[in-house]
Amino acid sequence: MLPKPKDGSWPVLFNIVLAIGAYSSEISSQNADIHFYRQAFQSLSLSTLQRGSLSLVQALTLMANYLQKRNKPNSGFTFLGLAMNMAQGIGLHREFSETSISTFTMEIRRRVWWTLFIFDSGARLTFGRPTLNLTGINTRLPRNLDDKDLSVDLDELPPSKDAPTVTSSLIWQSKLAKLSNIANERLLESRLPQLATMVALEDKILLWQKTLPAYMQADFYDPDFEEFHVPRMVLLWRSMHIRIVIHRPFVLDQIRRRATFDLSNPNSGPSRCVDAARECILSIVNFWNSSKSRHGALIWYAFYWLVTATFVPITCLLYDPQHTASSDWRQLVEMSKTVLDSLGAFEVTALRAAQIIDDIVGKTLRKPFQILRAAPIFGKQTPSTAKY
Amino acid sequence: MEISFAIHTVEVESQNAAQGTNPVRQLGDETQSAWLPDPRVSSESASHLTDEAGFGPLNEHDVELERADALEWDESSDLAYTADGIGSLSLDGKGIGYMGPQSGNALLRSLQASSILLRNRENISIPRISPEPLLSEDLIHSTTFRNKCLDYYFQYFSNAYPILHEGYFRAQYAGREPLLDISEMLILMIRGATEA
Repeated sequence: MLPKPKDGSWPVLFNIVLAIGAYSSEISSQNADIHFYRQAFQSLSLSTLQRGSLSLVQALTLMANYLQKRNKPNSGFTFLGLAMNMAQGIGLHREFSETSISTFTMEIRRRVWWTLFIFDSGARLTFGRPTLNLTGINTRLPRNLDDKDLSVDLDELPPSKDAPTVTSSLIWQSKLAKLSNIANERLLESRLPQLATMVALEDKILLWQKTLPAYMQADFYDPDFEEFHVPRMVLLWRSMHIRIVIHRPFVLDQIRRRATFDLSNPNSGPSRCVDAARECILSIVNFWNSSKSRHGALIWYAFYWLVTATFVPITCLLYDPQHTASSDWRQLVEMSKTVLDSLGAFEVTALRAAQIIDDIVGKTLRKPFQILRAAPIFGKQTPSTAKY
Repeated sequence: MEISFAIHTVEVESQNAAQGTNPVRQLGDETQSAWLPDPRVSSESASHLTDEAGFGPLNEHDVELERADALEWDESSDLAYTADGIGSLSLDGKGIGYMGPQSGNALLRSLQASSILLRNRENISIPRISPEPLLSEDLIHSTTFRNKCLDYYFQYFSNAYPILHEGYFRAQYAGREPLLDISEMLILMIRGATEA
């Protein structure tokens, strides 16, 4: 008999699972998740928070992720903290021997720990908050196995499979998260980090991408594993997003110094930023236009990283609309806007993003040559700067 | 006594000014790990300050100059939202919590500070949609619908974030035995067949 947990976590966990299910699916815009979320929320009491268990950690972690996706980022962040501390309290960050825990449970614990870890890492980068520099973690990464490969009475873990499984994305995202955390730290230490440091970090990310197994690469296609196509793309877009954020300070620095955008050197900070943004935009736009998938889990990540990436050519256009590369930037922004408008039909935050972008650069796109010249700007070079 | 206290205070303060650290460090305690220097007073931005005095707004200061009371948030209402889950769409920066330098919101602030972007764009209508379920109450409460949402969870979410084991969770949900190893299942089936 497999009982439900009796520590108050079940109604929270069960309802947040339903909420996330509804929100991740093709019926996301029907808002059924709101109903389940309210049930979950009402089931959470202070007594529940005075207990600690694996299922509570699962419930709190899922709540955190859901809250962020539903535009309550700070509530989500608070819940991540609850989950993270409770997780450490139940020793999720440590390996336990077979004498003290079943093989099955230990593997589930690994999956829970690393899922929490990647959610936490991602949120801290998104909101520009300090990285958790955790020492004393020895939890191994989970194996690349499907749920059906793990049964409750398992004696020994089967070896990792060489095919996409439910754990593939988690494993590789965990490795990426470690690089992301380093990037986060560098970006927090100094508003203008050393270019060499950031280039080295980007190279590590590119190496991470290169060492992805064949079944995790963008061009992998196998109809038997169709359900893993979106998670795979989402992970690749995430790596492009990190590469953009890594080099964005150099773009802002040029603006601050009122210098001309010199994109002739492909290894300069601004070039790398623009190139990563271009790669990201093209990947998301092409995927959206060629795929039939229209479910919430795809839409949320697609719109998030499309917004980040699009703001790079937008920034360039706003700063120097007469630059030789400006038609390339315009084209990228146009492409993104079209997809954002389409995403906006499903996700209200994407709609908001599309409106903001339209308001900011709509005029530049429609009338590229009728720009008001600003008053002379101090400095060595004076690119024309339009004020909107 | 008073003089030595004054000297101590001056020493601590000049240390803080040089390093921009919090004044909690014990003097002479070398075993404490080095505090991260305050990004506002890092050596790199210090040179920016002197080079660019009077040149224009200094955006590293702009981010921290947000009013601290504007950082507090209230996300308890379902009706309207000011914050967004991607940390990139807040044009007025109020009530969204601290958004650090690598966030999309910090980018917006930076552009506003450099006068590339105007602040407080009044003509953007932020959709104040109250996200209420658009399906009927009866439908949402039905077991069929709940089962469907459970399926969706494993179909669209769990294939990237396997925080729950599908067989185990479904067994708890249904209140029955979880999946066993295939040989155990066969034994149970055979036992069941022979006892019948």
